[in-house]
Amino acid sequence: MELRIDSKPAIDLAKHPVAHGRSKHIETKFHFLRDQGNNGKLEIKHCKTDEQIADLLTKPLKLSSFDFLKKKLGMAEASN
Amino acid sequence: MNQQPGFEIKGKEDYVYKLDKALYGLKQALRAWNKKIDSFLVQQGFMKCVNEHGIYCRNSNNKLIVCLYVDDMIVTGNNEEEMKVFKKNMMKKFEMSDLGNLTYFLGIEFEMNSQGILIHQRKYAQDVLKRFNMLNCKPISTPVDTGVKLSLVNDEKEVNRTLFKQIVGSLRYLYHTRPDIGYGVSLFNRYMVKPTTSHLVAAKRILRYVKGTGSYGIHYSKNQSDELIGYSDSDWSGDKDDRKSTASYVFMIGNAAFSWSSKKESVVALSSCEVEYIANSMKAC
Repeated sequence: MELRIDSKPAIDLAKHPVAHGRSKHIETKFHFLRDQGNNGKLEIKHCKTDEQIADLLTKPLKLSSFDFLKKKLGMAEASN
Repeated sequence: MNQQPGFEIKGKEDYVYKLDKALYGLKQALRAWNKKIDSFLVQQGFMKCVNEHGIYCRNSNNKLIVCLYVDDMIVTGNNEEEMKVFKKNMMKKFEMSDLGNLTYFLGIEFEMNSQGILIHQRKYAQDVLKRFNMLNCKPISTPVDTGVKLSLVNDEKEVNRTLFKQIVGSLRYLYHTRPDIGYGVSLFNRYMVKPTTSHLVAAKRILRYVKGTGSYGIHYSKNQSDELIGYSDSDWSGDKDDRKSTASYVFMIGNAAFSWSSKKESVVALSSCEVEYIANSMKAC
């Protein structure tokens, strides 16, 4: 399965564990992500911020990007 | 069970009935019913889904899936003949009727056309607007105002808590076919403890949005690819009160969403890299 994220640092962290000062406090349970990536179940990929569909569920958006992402989600109007 | 008035046995008025069978209206009746239908389905060769207890699957030559909600059922599969046989068996064992193609289930409407299936909650949306007296409000094009920063503690007047909770609860149900209101709904969930005027105004804005887009739903088209892609994202300390971030994910099959969530993260993240990382592992679970 494919996961798409719009943050390069998070992808790097998921691929190569580096335990320097800024990342070693991250709770162990969240490293489940790296586990799944390593055993081949997940493939982590980068995507552009304007194509990040999950943006719609994270923050209030302007009308133009809101409508664009709404269509991307597969939302449509009922006919009758 | 107590003896019925007028039918007491003389001299033994303090006796009670011992039930051999669960009666309608008892709290055990639900369990007894579920046990019965469960054993029937297992006997028919179905396997209960471990994650979703209302789903039963049978994988013989053809696939047959049954979705059970108390005593309502959706049956689907890739072989019509097998579905017919299953329905016949069901009818033999239970008193039931076949309502034909799926059109309405638990407030969710299903519209089938040549391109695929559209699920929406138009009727429910109308009912919600009617309930909160918003039928004649002015529609608006986005559910949440970009400029508004809500906070738990402010010096505004407190509003009717029950009303606020009812609105949020109704929107929560509408969220089943409408990921577009997801952010708003998860946002207002946080202020149910002590809602004030600005919270209510923001919640009513979603109702105004629903008024304009009531018949929207998700369209699952027939000829789409079955590639599964997950998207995840998060903001950065979006909650002013405890500085926790909101993480969300969407799973798409082809070009329609089928699973999504918007949630405040459980820990305070120290960097934007960390929030995204947490959001992703939330999704990976």
